[in-house]
Amino acid sequence: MRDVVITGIGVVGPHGVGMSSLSTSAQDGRCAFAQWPATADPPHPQSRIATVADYPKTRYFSERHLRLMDKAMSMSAFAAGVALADAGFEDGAAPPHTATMLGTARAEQTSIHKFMLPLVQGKPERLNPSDFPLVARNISCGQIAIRFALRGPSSVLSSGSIASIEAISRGARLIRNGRAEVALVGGMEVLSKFALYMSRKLYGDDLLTGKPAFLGEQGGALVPSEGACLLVLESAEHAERRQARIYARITACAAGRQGRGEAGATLHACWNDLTRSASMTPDQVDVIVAGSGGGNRAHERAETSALDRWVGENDAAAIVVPRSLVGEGEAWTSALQVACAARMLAGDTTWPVRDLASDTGETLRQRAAGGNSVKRAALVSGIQSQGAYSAMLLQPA
Amino acid sequence: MNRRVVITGMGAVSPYGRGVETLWSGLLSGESAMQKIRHFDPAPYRSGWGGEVPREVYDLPNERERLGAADEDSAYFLSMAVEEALTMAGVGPGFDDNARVGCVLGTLCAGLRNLRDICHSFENRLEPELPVGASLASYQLDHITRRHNLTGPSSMVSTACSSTTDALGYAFDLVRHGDCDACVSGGGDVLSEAIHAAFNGLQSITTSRPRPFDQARDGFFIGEGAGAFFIETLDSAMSRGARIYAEIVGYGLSNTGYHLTATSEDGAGEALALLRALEDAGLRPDHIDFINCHGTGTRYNDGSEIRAINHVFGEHARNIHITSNKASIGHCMGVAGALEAASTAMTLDRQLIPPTAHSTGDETELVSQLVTGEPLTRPIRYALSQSFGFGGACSCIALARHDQHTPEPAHA
Repeated sequence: MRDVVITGIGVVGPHGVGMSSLSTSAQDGRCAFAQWPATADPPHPQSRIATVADYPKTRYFSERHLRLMDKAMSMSAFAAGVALADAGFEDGAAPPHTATMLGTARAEQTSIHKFMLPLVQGKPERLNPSDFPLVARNISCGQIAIRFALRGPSSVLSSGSIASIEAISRGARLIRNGRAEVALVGGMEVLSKFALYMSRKLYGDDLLTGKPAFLGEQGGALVPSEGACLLVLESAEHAERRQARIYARITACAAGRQGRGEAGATLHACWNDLTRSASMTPDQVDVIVAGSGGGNRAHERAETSALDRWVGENDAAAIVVPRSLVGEGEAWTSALQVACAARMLAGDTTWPVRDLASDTGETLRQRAAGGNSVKRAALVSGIQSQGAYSAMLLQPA
Repeated sequence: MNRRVVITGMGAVSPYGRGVETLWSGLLSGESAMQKIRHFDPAPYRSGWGGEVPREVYDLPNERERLGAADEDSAYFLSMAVEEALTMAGVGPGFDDNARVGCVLGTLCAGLRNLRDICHSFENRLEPELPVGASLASYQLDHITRRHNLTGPSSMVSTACSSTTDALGYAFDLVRHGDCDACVSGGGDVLSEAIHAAFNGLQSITTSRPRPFDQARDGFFIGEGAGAFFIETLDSAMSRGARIYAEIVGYGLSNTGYHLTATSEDGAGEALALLRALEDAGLRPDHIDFINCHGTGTRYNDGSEIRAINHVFGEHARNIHITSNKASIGHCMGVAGALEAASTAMTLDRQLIPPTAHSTGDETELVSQLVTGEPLTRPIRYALSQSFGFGGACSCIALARHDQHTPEPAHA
């Protein structure tokens, strides 16, 4: 079994490009939310969304190429290029057998809507064959493989908001078991008028209060978000051989689904098992990077309950909630949780959680205040509305 | 931890109907399930051929309600297939929390019928009639895990037409590495008008009969259905005296990195998935007796697949028997891999290869022995089932007769 390390991070999100701009925004208490467009039927006068503004799209593709790509493809391929460059692989120099493992909850929906429109309008003869490939959820992954000449094991997971954490775990597994040396992993999501319509139907009441609320019981409003976050994983030997900068090691992964038992207790038990499997004790976890989305939905409340118990038992653990900065971006923000954990193990202090719920407990409030160092371990908690969960333990290089 | 993993339960819903035995006898018959499409009016399209699940399965009285899958057809098919797989394995149908049975599924088109209705509602500012969640790829995963209380690791693979072969490999990983002791795998898919229209636009849908590896080929028809497996450790199966259909010994994935929709010219990217499956299984190319091919019956796929086989197996390619199920059940998109892997497991279990319907196998580059006409009885110890999809996705699973397999793991 080989050690797996994170050597590259590529992010494009509402805050801009890269983790530094996100870190600065977090420390300055800024977020990049915009008004929910009036043309997309805002659920509340204060409803917000988090969209990606401009980024240097032509760094990796010509204008002509970009015209054939959808937003999911261009954002994720850009993030892939940034992650590879961050890992020290010059353009086109990543090992050809690099694995590609991505996750998305529903990045394809916007293109499916566009492709299906002629059928909906009763004009099948107007279907555009060039839009057809964009219907496949793995097409962005294929574009990344083509652009960066990667022919390693390749897959895309579409299991909801934790799909990207599952993809990262799967990439780590391939490396750990000697089936890949390097893996490009992560997730992406996309907003559009149609995606916002779907968000309204899927999130329902969780959009109606107008303002997010984290780590409490009272309902808050989700801020739909888009972006892409990709990471480069490597075997420790491979990274050391080429003297790559290492953000963190991935030392343990766990996943499961909520059964008939109490949800918070199941998560808490999973986190305990995770630390045990990495030969650590729970009090050595310096931060939990939580999956809370700002709506205090049932699965978020379960996580809050587990966090509450965890911080009661362990004096050291701080809490970070990336979605309080970038919105509920489903799979892209789940990948961002892992990137945040890696950054903190590499030197960033914890970021304060914005928009805590009015009923957030005092201990949770203190642990979410930010400014803590992360020296020993960071635990990433992935949660999903249908009861699936995924967790990952990261340790310093 | 590397444990041996076996298939002890299988389920299928296919264009032949409900059940693995129905699928198997249909494949052995050499008769294609291709029919005129009835779910939508195919008149606007160049070809109207498809392979829908028979009407009587769609309309089974009270079955959708019993299975709790009223809102989405692929989840309905999959619910039937999973139930059959669990019954065959003699486990479930519900599990305790601490059983931690995993679930890894795959799909391409699940939810697309519903999504079309939702697009219509969006365009016309109407309330959708169906729950929006039933248009998501993950809907069937949530449904199956909830219905059977599967509390182990779960995921949904969506790598176009290679989805469920990939999913079975992922499930195999979870069991052999000890993440769970047993796992449900498979997936459900539907014949969507949008996909039929698009493949028509690419002139990939046959206007005559599907003929994989035949110079007269003119494409495939789209099928639908579901395939399901219950897999567990060999130790677990032996200890409870379960019947074992096949052992999963390895799998391989690759990306051709060549083109978003076309398979590669030289088959090199596809060959990587085959080579990785062999390496993972600790097998040499000359161990392989049989390949259940992707075999779409399009010029590009057949060409690159033959070249991949010739590249990987060299002279031994001449000794390998191959078949394509797609001439019989159509190209079932995301679940093609699951149905073809089920067929491959049956081949290992019965030592019988179903024929490739309609084909003469006269493709000039083909050196392997395409089974045509009648089923062929052969001693088969090791077999591959392979799938290729859009986005350059390639997946290959290696199966064995568990009583004739001597494990030589390639990796710790």
